[in-house]
Formats: sequence, C-alpha cells, structure tokens
Amino acid sequence: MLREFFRVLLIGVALGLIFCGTFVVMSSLISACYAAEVTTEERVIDLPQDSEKWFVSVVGDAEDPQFQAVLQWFNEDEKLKDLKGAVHFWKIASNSTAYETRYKHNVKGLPTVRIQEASGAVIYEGVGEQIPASADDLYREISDSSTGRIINWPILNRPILPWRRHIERERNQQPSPAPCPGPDCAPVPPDPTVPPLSDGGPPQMDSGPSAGLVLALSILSLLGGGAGGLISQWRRTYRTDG
Amino acid sequence: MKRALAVLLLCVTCGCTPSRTPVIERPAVNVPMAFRQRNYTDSGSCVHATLITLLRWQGRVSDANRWRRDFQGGEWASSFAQKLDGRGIRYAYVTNGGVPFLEWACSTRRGCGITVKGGAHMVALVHLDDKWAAILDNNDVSKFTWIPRETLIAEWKASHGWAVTPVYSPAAPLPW
Repeated sequence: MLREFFRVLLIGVALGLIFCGTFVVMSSLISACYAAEVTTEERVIDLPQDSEKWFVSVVGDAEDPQFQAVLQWFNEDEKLKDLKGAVHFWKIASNSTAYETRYKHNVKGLPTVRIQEASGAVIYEGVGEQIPASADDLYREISDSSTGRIINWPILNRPILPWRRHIERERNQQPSPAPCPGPDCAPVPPDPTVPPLSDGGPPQMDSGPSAGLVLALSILSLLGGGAGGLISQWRRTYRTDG
Repeated sequence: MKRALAVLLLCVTCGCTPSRTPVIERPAVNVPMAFRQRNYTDSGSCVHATLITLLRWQGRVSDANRWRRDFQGGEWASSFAQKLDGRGIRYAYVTNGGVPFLEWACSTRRGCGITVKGGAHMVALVHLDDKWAAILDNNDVSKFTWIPRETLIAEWKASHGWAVTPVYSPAAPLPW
C-alpha cells in the first residue's frame, strides 16, 4: 500500500517537472521571437508624447570604476532598470562633445548622477563620494528626492510660487500632432506588432508610506493622546487619596 | 503656538523650496556649435546636413557620422524615408504641412527639418512658440535665425510642408 502511494507520488512529480520544463522552454522561445521582431521592425507609428519625461544623466570618465559601477546598476538592478526605461537616459563620457558642450560647466565633479524634470529642474544630483555605494541606496535617495515629502497630496505638490505656476502652465500645453501615416502622407504600412514608443511623463517611483497610512496613524495618535489626557485628568480630578 | 502654526502653514503653502532661477533655454533645441553640420557638396546636401545635426543633438553621434560619410545631394521625402528605413533609424515625418507636428517636435525638444524656399532648401526648426520660431540654417550655422511664427509656417506650407526628424532622446536640458 505504502509502495503504491510512493509510486503514484513519483509519477506525479515527474509529470509536473515535464510540464514545467515544457512551459519554460516555450515561453523563452516566444520571448526570443518577439524581441527579434521588435528590434528588426522598428518604425514610428505613434509619436511619443514625452515632453514631460525626466532626464537621467550619468556623467563620468569612461575608465573610472565608480562610473562603470553606476552604469552597471542602471543595467542590472531591477528598480534602476525600470527607472532607466521610463526616462530619457544619457550616459555621458567626459571625453565626449556632449560633455564639453552641455555638462562641463555645470557638473560639480565626476562621476555625477543627475535626475532632472523636463523643465531642467534638478530633482537629484549625486557627485563622486556622495553617490551611494549600492544600487538600492541610490534608488532610495532618488526616490526620496523625487517625492520630496512623505505625503503626496496634490495640494502639497501644487506649485504656488508664481514662477512655478508659469512653468506648470507651459508643461500642460500639449499639442496633438497628426503624424504620418495619415491621409496625405506617402504610404507607410502600419505594423501592428510594434508597440508605440515609450510615452508618458515622470516615472512612478516607490515612495514612503502611503498618505492613507500616515493619515490613519495621525488620527490614531491624536485619539490616543486625547484619551490618555482625558484619563489622566479624570484620575487627577476624581481620585481620592486616602 | 500660533506662531508655530503660521510657520507650518507658510512651509506647506510655499513648499519650503529654496528659490532657484529656472533656466529656460531659447531656442528649445539649443544645438551646440560642435553638433551643427554645415551644408556640404556643391549640389547641396541640406536635408542630410539637417538630419546629421538633429541626430547629434539626440545622442546618435555614430549614426550621424556614418550618414555624413555615406549620403549627399538632394532628396525627396520618399527617397529620404527609404534611406532612413535602410539604416534602421527611428524617425517621423509629415508632408502635409501639419503644424501640430512642428509643435510636437519643438515641445519635446527634438527639433525637425523643414522645407523652405519653395521646397528648394531644408533647415532645422529649433524653436516654435506662440509668437516666434527659430531656425538653424545649414548654410550659416553660426547663428539661430528668429522669425515670426506665422511667417515661418506660411513659408513652410508654401514649400511642400515636409518636416522630418529622428525620434530618439533629446539632449538633457540645462540644470537649474
């Protein structure tokens, strides 16, 4: 009886392994085909509405190990890789023309990791030794700088200062282009397998505790403090000593 | 207590942000001198020169240098699209004088090549706002030329309304 049970169990495990293996092989084949198609058939169908996209610049000497390490984080660390995919990412070597013309006069040292809004406002900048020693810490610093505060209530994020208001208004003016392919364009066959280019505005960063949690904790503390005070006062008033 | 509350209120309403002076680049596509490609060959290669400038601005320096090496002479929209396709360059274009395309190109800070002079010449459009446009002419790359918006648009529409641009990441804005 026991032997029969183990035999059935063994068959079950073997079948499970076969199914899992087949699934893994099939899924990797499918992703390989898809990747090949995307890279060989790149064509613009939808214009990216990315005028609010952030910019990430990693600037440094190509030979500098710290510069190389930071670049590696952006290629390998899951969170930084996601961030890289959601922004305009620039790797700037200190011997490039881009460095000479756009960075040399405004970086404080090398390497530099700079995160900017589309307007150019710097959200985060780490230079040399200030750059955290791990990908996790770098992501956390960027995240902290980008949220700027624990609670992301719109009223707190609303630009109040006049010049911020002006910038906000400029940002919100989104044209709606009518690009090719269109009725008056030369024929460009659409390729439905190609996804639109990465659109969108600022990336979604993992922030601190949610506004709801903070609110709940605040209310709880308020109630707790109130109740404590009430009890203490009640005791003081009605306690009979001796 | 009241004073503390007032300070807190001020902090919340002002965001406690140290005031920084925003750097607003004009033109929006502020192509550095080193990236500007002058027109080349006797027959004129204005379309190619414009593309090369925009490719450099969008970080495709190797593609730009290869393009400079391999292509020259005049172009039509269709033949140019074929060349871009052949090189696997990501691009967008219009040939219908659609102004929103120009607005998109400038608001995303990519810029675009536009036809002028009845279609005989192409320049880079590097700025377009409510009142003004700026172009970078590959026959004189030393300066940006500012033109009233409506004048520029009328000139472009009267020149077949062809506009084309590579679609990569524009250079990062100057920090502030």
